[in-house]
Amino acid sequence: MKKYLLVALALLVVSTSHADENDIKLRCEYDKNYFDNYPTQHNSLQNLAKALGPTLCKNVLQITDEEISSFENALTDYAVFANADIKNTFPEEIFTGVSNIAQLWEEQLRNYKATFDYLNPILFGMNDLGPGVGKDRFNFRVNLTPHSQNYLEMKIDREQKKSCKTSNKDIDCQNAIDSLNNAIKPAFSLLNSELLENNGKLLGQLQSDWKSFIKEARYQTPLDVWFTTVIQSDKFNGADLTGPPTTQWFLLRPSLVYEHVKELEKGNRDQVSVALEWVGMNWWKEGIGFSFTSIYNDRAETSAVGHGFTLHIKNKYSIGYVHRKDKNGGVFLNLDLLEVFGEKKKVYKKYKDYF
Amino acid sequence: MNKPMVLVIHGIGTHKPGETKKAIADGLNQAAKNFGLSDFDVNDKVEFFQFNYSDFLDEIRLKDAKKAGELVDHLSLLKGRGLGEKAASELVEFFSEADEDKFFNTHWLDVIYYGLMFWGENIRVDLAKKINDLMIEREQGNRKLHIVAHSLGTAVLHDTLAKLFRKDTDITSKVPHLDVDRFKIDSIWTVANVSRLVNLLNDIADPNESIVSCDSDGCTSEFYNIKNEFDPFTWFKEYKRPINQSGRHITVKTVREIDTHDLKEYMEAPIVAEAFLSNVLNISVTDEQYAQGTTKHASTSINYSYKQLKATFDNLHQQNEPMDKFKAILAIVEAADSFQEKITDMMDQA
Repeated sequence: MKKYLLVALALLVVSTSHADENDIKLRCEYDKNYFDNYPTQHNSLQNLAKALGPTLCKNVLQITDEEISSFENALTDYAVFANADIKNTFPEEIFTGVSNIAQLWEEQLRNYKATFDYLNPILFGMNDLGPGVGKDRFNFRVNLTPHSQNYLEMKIDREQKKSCKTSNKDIDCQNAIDSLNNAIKPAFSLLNSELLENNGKLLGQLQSDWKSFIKEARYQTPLDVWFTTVIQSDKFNGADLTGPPTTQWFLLRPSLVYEHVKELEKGNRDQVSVALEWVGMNWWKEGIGFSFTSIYNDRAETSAVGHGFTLHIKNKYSIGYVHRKDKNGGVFLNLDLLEVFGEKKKVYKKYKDYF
Repeated sequence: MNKPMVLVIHGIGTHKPGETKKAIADGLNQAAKNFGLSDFDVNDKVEFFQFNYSDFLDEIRLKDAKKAGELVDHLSLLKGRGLGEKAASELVEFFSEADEDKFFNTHWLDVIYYGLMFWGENIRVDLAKKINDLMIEREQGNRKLHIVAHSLGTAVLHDTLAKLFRKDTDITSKVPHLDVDRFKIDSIWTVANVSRLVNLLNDIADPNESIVSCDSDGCTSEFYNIKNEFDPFTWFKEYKRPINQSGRHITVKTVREIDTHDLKEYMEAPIVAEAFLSNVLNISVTDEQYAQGTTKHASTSINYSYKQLKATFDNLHQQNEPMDKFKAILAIVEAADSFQEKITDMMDQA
């Protein structure tokens, strides 16, 4: 797993570097006003985080000995100081259990060669338990991923509130948490931004695929869409976000077609008929598909029903052939295709004139 | 620190731009007024973002209606050619109503389009991108990201997060994922949660087991699930997954309007507004302020006690939940109709 992640990060960074070296450089540097948004009383810790952040972002691969050394020094300084700062902010005798998680975090950071868990930040939080729970209505929590046992929650009591003020220059526990988080987070922020931007590109590609599908694919009725969804349920209802279907399916799709039966006398050869696509498929990116089709037109000159197939071309045009039991064949075009040759009203008028 | 970001996701039906955030803001502002908080406007405290999927569903629905209409345009040509006069007229009538609300209640059609068709995945991809963009903004600006989803929006949000977040991600994959060990939403607020009901239709991830929780390996730091005991939309496949101390289930027990599913009504309820003010805005409401807000809110409720309401509507809950997807949808439609009928009578008599 570790090797896998290593290769993954390598590919991520290398591929992005090749794409735009200036871009990657910018992403591994803090914005000019970045630290204005991270006010803290833990200035020393934040300075170490500030030093570690770009190193973590750029040298996460630890490619050369020089880089390993640089990275290791920054990481160790940060880890040791962060552990101590957390213990000072939330003393063990008052916030029981916090010290242990802080210690585990330092070890997790130092253990960067064995696992990528060192990229997981420790998270402090607080929430209100609501009215009616008494005076101690605020909940304090610490979470160190990936192991669920390193999760701690406790109600904040009077003694803890007092401690927050004494150990943090007279600020309350919420502010103490914010102040500490603001010193810790900058170490991970640049790498997180990189990962989020990469993820955003993948999501953007999926969005683009869906837009193409909506714009270019052959129209599907709600029944067709449902049928396609059922057939490809593993894709759409699976664990991952995904793009549009590569294959469109059609089921019991009615349409009107303009049919030509060559064997009939002139005047009876061309008529509008009802067509039903029993089942069909279309590969919209390739622009080719087919359906098994029947045609119905109750007239004296030939059998009412014919069976055959329809060929779908470029997601827009459909032509087909049916065979009747009286041996008459029929070639047909769908009405959408007819509309290509003129405005809908004109086509409609043409029909009326015809009939 | 910059203002927290609040992403709002609407429920069923058509929603104009800004409508959902206005409902939330109006509800919270009124509740704050009832608490006695002067000069409070939530719009000054947070930055709202809205994810709208109703435009897309409307577009698809209207396109379907248009295509059906095109068929109708030509159906009359077939009279006497295998299609009788009556049959042609009935078909024309059927299709011509396809773009009207009465064709099949637009609300329920949204559920079908989202839950049973691949269009739901397009919506999820769009929402995932929106959340990812806001998380970039959060990272750069040290902001908090909170999400409020209502009704069908709770299912859209759940399904999206269940697909977006993962434990131990493989970033060589071309499939987008975020690792819950490194990324979490700050808080999620599900109002009238129907995610389990919709899960019957699409079976994406069981909300009772999914990564969408505030457990240590869940995708959010805090989770608040809100229901009104008299909102029929929450009666079937109710979301009851235990929530640890980093959040809670919140139950509203008052009725002021016939539409107990209304988002503004939910947010205006003191028990909901207090939780939001405290956990999103860090504004603590004292016990006295809360009592005052509750009294003011109750004074505008209908003139029936909680016990009376409960006795009236308890029989509308089904003891055995329908397991079949279509029966479940029909059961909720029937319950909603019965509820509306009864509550209208009660309000007329009050």
